Amino acid sequence: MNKDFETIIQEAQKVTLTTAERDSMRLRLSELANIPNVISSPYQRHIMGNSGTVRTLFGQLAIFKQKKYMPAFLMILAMLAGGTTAAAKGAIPGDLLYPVKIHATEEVQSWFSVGDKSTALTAVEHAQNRLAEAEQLAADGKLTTDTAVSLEQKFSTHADEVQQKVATLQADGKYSDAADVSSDFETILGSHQAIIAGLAAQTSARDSQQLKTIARTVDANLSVTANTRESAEGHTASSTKDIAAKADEARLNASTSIRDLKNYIYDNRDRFSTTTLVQANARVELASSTYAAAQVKFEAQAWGEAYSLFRKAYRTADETRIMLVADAALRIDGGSYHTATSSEHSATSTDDSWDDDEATSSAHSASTSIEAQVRVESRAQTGDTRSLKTETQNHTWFKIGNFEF
Amino acid sequence: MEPGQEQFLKAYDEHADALFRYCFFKVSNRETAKDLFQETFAKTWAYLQKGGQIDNMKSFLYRTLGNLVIDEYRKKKNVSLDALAETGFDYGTDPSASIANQIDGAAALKLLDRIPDDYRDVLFMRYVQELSIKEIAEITDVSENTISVRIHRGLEKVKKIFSDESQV
Repeated sequence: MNKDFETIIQEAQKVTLTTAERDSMRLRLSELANIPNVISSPYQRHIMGNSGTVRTLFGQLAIFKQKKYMPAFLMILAMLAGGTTAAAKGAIPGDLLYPVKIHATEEVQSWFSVGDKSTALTAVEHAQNRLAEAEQLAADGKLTTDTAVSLEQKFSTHADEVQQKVATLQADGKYSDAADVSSDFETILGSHQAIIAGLAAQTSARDSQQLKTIARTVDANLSVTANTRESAEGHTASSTKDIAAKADEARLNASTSIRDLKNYIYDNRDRFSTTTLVQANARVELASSTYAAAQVKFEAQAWGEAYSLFRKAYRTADETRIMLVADAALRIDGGSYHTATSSEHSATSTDDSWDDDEATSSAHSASTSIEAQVRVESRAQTGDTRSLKTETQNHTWFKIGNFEF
Repeated sequence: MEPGQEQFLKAYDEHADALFRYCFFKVSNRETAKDLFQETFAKTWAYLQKGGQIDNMKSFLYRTLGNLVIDEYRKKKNVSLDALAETGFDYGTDPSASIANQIDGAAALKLLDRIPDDYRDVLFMRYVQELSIKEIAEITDVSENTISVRIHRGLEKVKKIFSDESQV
């Protein structure tokens, strides 16, 4: 081998972390990893770790850097709780550790949230926790009236806090932050709307009725949040000086989210039914086609439109991943895509006449047409006006990694 | 300690330096490399926490890091040789001096930029990281045969690039 090249190789091999860097990072990572993984259900583990997982991990890193004053009793509680706190993370109402989760974990999280955006995102996480708890209980056949009412009230409290913080951000002219929070919340509400509908179709009459209580509140918040998000994005697009950079950031996030979704589907394909996989891949295609439409706008320097479309693609991918996690963990037959439409969210009916038959009928008819529906819309976004009949006559293959449908 | 935690920290101990070096090779900025390196392990832990199964930790880490690097490319430009010159290093000003007297590790990595794209990565992984052909194939999702061909052709290019320089 060429001598100079050999020298380069030898020198290059000397590039390493310093001992201090390596040890420091190891310490941080081991502190994160040392949280005992005693979670009561896989769904709790998935959902608790799902909303901005990496953000959550780095949020914990941020704990060591923040110097915000915290009531002594909360600090002591957090320190003493230690492993108990972590073990409580997956607790649901009725579990011994559930009070620890609410008071030691979530209150501590709230204390360490600095600023309106951070506080709002923490409230988003807590709101999702309440929904996940209700869904887990319903799946286990344990969602009593009292618990459903309690969870609904707590969810409402968190949701109200989110809406208030978003309003404050907008009033302060922080439209981009308001758009981020609203978008996150909309993603969570949209996915859980679908999860709840899927569960309602297969749980007992009692649990289904309890889910209705929560579904109404989710629907109402989803409608408000979607409007807020649209408004905040619109303001961001029209008033932000660096909208091109924002569009680029949204492009990056969408690309990452779609890629992560594809990897997730591929890595966990053995856990899903064929129906779920087909529906999931239809949503992958929808997210991808939205991304493609956004890319066209981006290249035409229509930054505002590109920004909004990239964020839409991101939400579609993220929602799909949340729903897949629920499908696998809660064993929702046929996927949770029943009411998750390809267009942006509209609240489902809050009519009191909603009953099990309607939920089941809605779920089944929607699941058989979802694939056709998203194909039509995805083609429309790219200007393709071929009829659906032509589309279905030509078998469409989806390819994710090495896995083809 | 639970098995997942043990697997995770063991992976860190075994692969930290190699991964950091690869990251630095790709982004040419130490602080950025550290951020991406740390995020790689954080994402890996998140994946394990969600119940993900990792059959080959080394490949998983490289692929995760590779994806993060791609994202980073889209955000920032790489440090060019010109920028490197601004920091005091200026390879080539004294052609009579051997490379050995001119470079340190960081500059050595930068010199590898002279190798064409098609071959640079595989040569780095093969000779600097000392990965096997099979491992490189798994990480890059390319056949072992293709990897072998690229290494062979890459070495031919290297001979030409660096022997041309030494004859100046």
